[in-house]
Amino acid sequence: MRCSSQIVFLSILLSVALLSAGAAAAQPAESAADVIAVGKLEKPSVKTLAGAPCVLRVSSVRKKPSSIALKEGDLMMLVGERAQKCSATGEVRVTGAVLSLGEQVTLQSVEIQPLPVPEATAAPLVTTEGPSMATLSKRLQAAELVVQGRVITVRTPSATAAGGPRRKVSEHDPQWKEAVVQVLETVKGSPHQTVVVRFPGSRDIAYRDVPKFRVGQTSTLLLSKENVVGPLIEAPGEKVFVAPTKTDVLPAAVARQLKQMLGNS
Amino acid sequence: MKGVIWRPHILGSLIGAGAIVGIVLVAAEPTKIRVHTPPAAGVVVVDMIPKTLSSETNQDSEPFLAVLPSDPSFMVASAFTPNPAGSSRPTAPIFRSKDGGKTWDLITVVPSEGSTADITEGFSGPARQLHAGILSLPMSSNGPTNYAHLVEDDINVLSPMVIRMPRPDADQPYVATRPDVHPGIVYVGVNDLSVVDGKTATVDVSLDGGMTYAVHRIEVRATDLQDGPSIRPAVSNDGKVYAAFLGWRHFDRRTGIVKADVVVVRDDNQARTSPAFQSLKDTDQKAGKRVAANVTIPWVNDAALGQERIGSTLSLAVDPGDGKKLYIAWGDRVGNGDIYTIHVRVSNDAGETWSADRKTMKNSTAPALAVAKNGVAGLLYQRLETIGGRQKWVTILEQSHDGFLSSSSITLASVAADLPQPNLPYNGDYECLIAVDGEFRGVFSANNKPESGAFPQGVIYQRRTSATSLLDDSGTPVAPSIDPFFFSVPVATN
Repeated sequence: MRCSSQIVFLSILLSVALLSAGAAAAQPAESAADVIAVGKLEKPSVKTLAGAPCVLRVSSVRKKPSSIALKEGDLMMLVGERAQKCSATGEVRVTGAVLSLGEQVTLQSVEIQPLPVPEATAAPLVTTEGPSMATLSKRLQAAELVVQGRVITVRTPSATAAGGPRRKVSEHDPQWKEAVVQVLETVKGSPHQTVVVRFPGSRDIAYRDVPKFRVGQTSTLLLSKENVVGPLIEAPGEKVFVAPTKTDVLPAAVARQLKQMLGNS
Repeated sequence: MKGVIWRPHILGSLIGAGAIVGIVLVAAEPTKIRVHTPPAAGVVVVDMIPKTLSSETNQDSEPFLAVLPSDPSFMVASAFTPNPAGSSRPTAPIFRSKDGGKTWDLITVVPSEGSTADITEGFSGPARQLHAGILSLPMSSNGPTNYAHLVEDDINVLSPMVIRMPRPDADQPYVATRPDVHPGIVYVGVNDLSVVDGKTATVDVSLDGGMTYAVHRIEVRATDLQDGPSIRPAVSNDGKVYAAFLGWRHFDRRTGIVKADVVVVRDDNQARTSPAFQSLKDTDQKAGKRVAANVTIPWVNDAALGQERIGSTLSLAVDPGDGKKLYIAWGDRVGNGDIYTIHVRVSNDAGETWSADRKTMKNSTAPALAVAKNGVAGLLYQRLETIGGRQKWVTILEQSHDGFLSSSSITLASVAADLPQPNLPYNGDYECLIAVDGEFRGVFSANNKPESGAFPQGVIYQRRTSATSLLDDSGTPVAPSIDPFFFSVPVATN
């Protein structure tokens, strides 16, 4: 089932809520894991995963990327560099990162925990289309300014701001645009009435995951001057930032929780 | 699981040195591969998206293919396919087949965040040593691309590829290899936009199996700030290496119209000496034969030919049995009401002289040339046609034994062109064709919707489908998108 925007929004709020709570409920390995599943190992042996990958018959899936098909009854290959043994004979909880996808999923960097491990029996499946807690925390740290704001104008920057009129061209030219954002609430950093967010207007595949902005959009923005090569030319009186990843543009409602979280840290 | 055939499957070491070979059992279920129409004799077309990604709706455009010469059943392919685990993951995926293209899986081994921009690859040197040229992500927030060479000694090991010689501000790396020598030789055509004098067409050459690269500028004539993005090396078995590029002589930035020369350079000694690529001179005594001069190329980085962008299409191939026989194809605007026309020309004397157009294909793009051992040339391309009142992208493979004085053709795909997609390129700035023993093998990207007549030669889906729809794991219909398709077609006999 495709992940709806509602599920994305809820997963973001869940990430923020867990982050606010100190993320005690989720271990770093699990928050970073692509897949968490429960099942039984086919043909358990004393060998480690580094010596011989093993196969898990999935009985339930706790977490997976939304685009990956994985359900009860599927087989999943487990490989790993660590001295992780494939010897458990009962149900196990497995975490890992996606290594390959074919007729079945193969996980790497696998950790296998024999059950019983405290499991919420009604724990909902988490499909990871929104940011992980680790990613959200990292982006929050990197942000120079975090605001809730509304885009009031989208414009083309001046030639000077864009680096000059006569430049070499490629299909990866960003075709810069600027979103002028009215700040509704400042979560982190110095208050401003408006800020400018420069973003690539290009549809080139290189910018597939870089957020674009439209007039009227209200979002929580994690703004920085990250990964900027050379000066980010600003018009007098304007502060220009970038929001280069999907995690840098969040639903507007997240702002208040981020503010509480930052106030608690 | 009923109907499952268990086969031993060898995986290489997962801890690097001190190889320990593990044997695991992999379920192989040929009965679950869905064939929508029976394939024409010998022709195979496979949607490369694996079953475990049945719900994906990504725009997997711009595919490329590499075939392992020592074991042609082993292949690697790339497309703009993102890491299914998310855009923040440190690696991007490529496709792998171990059975001659019948089935494909996705392996996350390319060091680039979530996906790549441009990527091409080739095998060279020791068994399964894979080389790639990529533009890695993320792009800098306000500036140049991140270009790098990658190498992996054994791609079956599934560890991230090693980065060599990263540098900024380059475009469209295009890999060609000389796999039959050791250490392997790798040529990467790249448009190096960091060059100050405007002579940006470049071939990076590695003579040591991808450990180091020498940078060779191949444009010697004046340009209007730069050359076009596409630089296409082609390697002969007799020590010659060629490269084609579009020399931009004038670029009207207001209209997007370029006046360019279609240029071929040659090096008779594998580009082992510097300056390289000086073996073929034109009447002005400068290196590089102008196959066509002052052609008009519309540079449109937006929907221009249907939903596809245009302006850089170029392909070059050399006959493996005759290192002097060359085929070239490029796109320009003729001005006869066309948007974009592909031209095909032939040289029988190592590029010294060229035929007039042997073929022109109106409103077509992404030509890919290859020549089989028996001298039959293959030409893959995509044409925008109106069929039954509806615009369609038609993917065609032509074969010719006489240098395209005549040719036979088959249609591999005829799919709706009105499917909205968010990104560019729509299908791809290029696709790929390779001659392997008695087959032409290649990859193209197209609208993946199962529709009557969409794949006249038949198609094999790995992902879940019904007769009329893609399906996710629960049987719910999935919206169509652009998928990469592999194909193999028997080489015509002379």
